[in-house]
Amino acid sequence: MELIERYLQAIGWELPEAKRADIVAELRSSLYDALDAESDKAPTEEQAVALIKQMGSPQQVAAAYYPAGQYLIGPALYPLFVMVIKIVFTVVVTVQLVLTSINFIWGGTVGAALGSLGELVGSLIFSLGMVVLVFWALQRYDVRPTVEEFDPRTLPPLEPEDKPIRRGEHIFNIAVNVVVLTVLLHFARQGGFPWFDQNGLLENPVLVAYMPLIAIAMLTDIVLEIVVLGQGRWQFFTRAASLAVNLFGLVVALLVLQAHDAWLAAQGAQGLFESINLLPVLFVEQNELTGMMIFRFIFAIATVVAAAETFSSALQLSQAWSRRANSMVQSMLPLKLD
Amino acid sequence: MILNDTQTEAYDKIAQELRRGVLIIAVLSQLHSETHGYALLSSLADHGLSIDQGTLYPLLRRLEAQGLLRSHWNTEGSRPRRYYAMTPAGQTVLGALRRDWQELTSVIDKLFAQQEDDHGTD
Repeated sequence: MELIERYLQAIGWELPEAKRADIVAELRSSLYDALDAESDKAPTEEQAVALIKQMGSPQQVAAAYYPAGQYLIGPALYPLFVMVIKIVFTVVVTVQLVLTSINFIWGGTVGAALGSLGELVGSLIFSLGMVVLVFWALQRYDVRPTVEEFDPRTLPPLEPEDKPIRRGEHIFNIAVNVVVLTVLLHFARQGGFPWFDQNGLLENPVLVAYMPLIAIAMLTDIVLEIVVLGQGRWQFFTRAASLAVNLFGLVVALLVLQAHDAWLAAQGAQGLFESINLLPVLFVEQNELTGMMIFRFIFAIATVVAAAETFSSALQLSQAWSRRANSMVQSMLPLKLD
Repeated sequence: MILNDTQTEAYDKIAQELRRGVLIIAVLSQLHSETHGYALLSSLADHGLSIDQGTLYPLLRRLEAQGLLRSHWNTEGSRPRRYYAMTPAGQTVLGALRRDWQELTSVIDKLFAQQEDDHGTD
């Protein structure tokens, strides 16, 4: 029955990942047993609504599964705490990456960019501390989210992304990333790319300088793909991580593109768009300048692809977010002092 | 007896704590043999103790984590169900809880009886 499945889905969103499937499976069998016990006929929506109301909102049900004991943040507040942490972390990572890229494009150095990314860790720890402090105060003064009349009919629809992922697509992405990264690291170690027929290697100082950032961007992408592959489904957290990884990839692509542009400008070469008509002859005239122009084209394309992927993952995350926010708002707001 | 809002709030908290401990004894008492969650709910309800699913299943998991219950999935019925039963440790603990319960109810009964006597002689 769809309403029961929507209810189970909403409960699943609030549960710890490791226990989610098992708990949801048990609740599913019990809910259908309860419906079967009511009558021999197929259960009506009214019966399902009554059963779900009796059981409580998804947040209430999920909160009961969190460990008992002395809480810094108790079960009543914990689901809201987790949601706030996810939102705050997503915002902090996004803002920091955007600021880093803007600073760099407008004349920053690689060292400053890396330092700025290092500050991200500090910002995350600081925001975690602040959120914990706020929720600890709420817990201390026994402020609880007031549970309004919960209407199961307002549960969010079943998420299409809850369907299993296309494993082949993720395996292909991992393979491509691994191959490209291996090739780049190999040539970086050799000191250049085999470009001139018999005249040695094309040294690309920009690529060598940015290789650590490129490697980090590609490795984080590989790790995320492996995690999603392991889970078999997109989750809210992996959607958020995907946005962060794609944003980081976009920033790195922009940095490398901008550095190629600066290097070529210093050599008196034409800008990216002016040099498009030179493209057919670039591969014929094999010299350092044309080699660097080809790399600039490659990173221009990589930037466009990274921007499209970032936009797509932001869209997917906002859809998942709005579904979750609807669910939370229905059952947990407004907050008021007991 | 009609309680005002403050009394109701205080009563709810105390009753909830009292019930929480009693539920564990009630649940353990029904798990000498393998039973799935919904059958356990029905069995307790038939004996006059209603407990909702949102309370029972987390409780079962906590008892299992404490080593008092064991569980496994059975897929042979009309739908897959998780079956629970007491472990030897659970049986020992239930025995001790049963003694505690009998002592407590005996003491409380005596206290109430004394109170009634005192009021009767006032």
